[in-house]
Amino acid sequence: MREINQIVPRLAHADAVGNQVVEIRNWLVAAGFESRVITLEWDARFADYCVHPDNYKDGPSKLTLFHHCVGSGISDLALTLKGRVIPYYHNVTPARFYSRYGPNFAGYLEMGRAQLRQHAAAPYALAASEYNRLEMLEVGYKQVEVLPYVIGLDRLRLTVDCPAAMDVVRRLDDGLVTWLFVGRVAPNKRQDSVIRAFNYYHRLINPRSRLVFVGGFDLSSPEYAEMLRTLVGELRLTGSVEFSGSISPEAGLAGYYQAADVFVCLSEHEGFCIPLIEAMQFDTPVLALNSSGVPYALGNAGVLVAESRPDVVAEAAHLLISDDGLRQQTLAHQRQRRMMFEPDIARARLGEVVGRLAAGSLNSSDRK
Amino acid sequence: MTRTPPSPAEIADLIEIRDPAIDATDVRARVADALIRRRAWAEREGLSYDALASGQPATSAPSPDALRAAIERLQGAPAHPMTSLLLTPSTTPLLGGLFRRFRALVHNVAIFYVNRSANTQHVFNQAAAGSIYALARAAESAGELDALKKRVSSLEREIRELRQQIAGEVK
Repeated sequence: MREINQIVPRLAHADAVGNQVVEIRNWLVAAGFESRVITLEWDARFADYCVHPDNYKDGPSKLTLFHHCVGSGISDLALTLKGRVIPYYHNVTPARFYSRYGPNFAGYLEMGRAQLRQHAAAPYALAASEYNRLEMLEVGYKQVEVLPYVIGLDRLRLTVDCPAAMDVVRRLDDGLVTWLFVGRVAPNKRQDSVIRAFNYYHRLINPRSRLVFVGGFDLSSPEYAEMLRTLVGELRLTGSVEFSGSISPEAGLAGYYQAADVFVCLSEHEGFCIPLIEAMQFDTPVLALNSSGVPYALGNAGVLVAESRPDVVAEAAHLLISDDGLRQQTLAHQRQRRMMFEPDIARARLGEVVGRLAAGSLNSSDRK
Repeated sequence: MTRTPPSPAEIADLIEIRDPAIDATDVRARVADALIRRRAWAEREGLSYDALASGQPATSAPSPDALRAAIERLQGAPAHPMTSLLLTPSTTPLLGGLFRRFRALVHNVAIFYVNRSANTQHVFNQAAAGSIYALARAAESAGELDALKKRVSSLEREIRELRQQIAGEVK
């Protein structure tokens, strides 16, 4: 039996890396390959095909995709496998973001950066975005190809009319202007910058407004979440800023995108930033900080700011919200851009790349 | 700290619009103009524009921090605290699979009760936060009345000025 496996530190349900691992495995199984996921911990839904490194039987004929997203002991396993290993880089957040709010986790991130370099001798590698690809080339990788995420836009579209999404739309449809950001509450996402810009907007431009954060709290940096709550209190925005926690499509995520007047992303580090594409899917104009992988995801769509200045961000957001001409022009370009991330297109690309690797694993005798 | 509104030239470096169909120069000019107008308006209202533009509170009036922090902690609890099952495997041969299934069953029971308890706590938190917030708002209403009075005076002044201007133009 032909066998192509994947290594990932942790296989979680419904995060970007987890989704991609499952998509790749689905393709491999449909193409007749045996495929396991070697991982340290996994969501119970994936138990049928997950295997712990201690129980994994290595072999020289096995091809393995190594998903790299954080420092982990499993990276050493990828270095010692007998068969060919192809690194697939999802980006590692720079440790400096966690030095203040999660020093323990910062250590894992430092390790992740070092491990990225350890795999640089691989003759061929994959990156989840063009930004990631450039980072890999910078640390010495020779040949890197972009394998974009299969974004669950189809799943989001299916839940547009679900009761939970409708409830969200009804709740937020109260005449207030809604700013939205979707993403984990984490130091690199800089929700604090969004709060400061919203404070300017709320005090000086439109007091009939609210800011909604959708995203789970990062357990690696509880101090950051605490700082955000304190900031909201100090700025007297209690009641105008909402932390909704992690919301799955089935729990009404589409409702937040539909109800939002503007999507504001001031994140300072993103490997790709899937919520930007989701916002475009729901015709929410995007205003984002020009940083890391964000411009690669937006292409020529949306409005970018070079700094997270509260005054400039708020005034630009106000224009996007209130000027119908600018809004419509922005949305028109966003509609074109989002077409590139349609799941069918991404799945076809995945089939092309993984299919080529699979064919190579059958014909080639090259080893890492 | 004084935050000088950026000039149109500086705005060009701050706002990037790559869509050729949008007149980026016009957008930047409008943002620059809005920043100047907003500063003037804030000063008339007695608000600290520099503070707001730097992401600081609009007034230096003390905030009941302890009360606010308590409300924030209550309201900041995630609305969906659902916990999912993550298992680390057993390395015991043969019995490992059975043991893992047993652990999954036990964990699922524990997670069910944890989630139920978290939901109950969340409902209570929301109710408590709502009540405390209402009390806090009542306590602040006196301060807000003062601000509103200032605002009314400012608007009356603007109306007077506009009337004088219109009267001058008619003559």
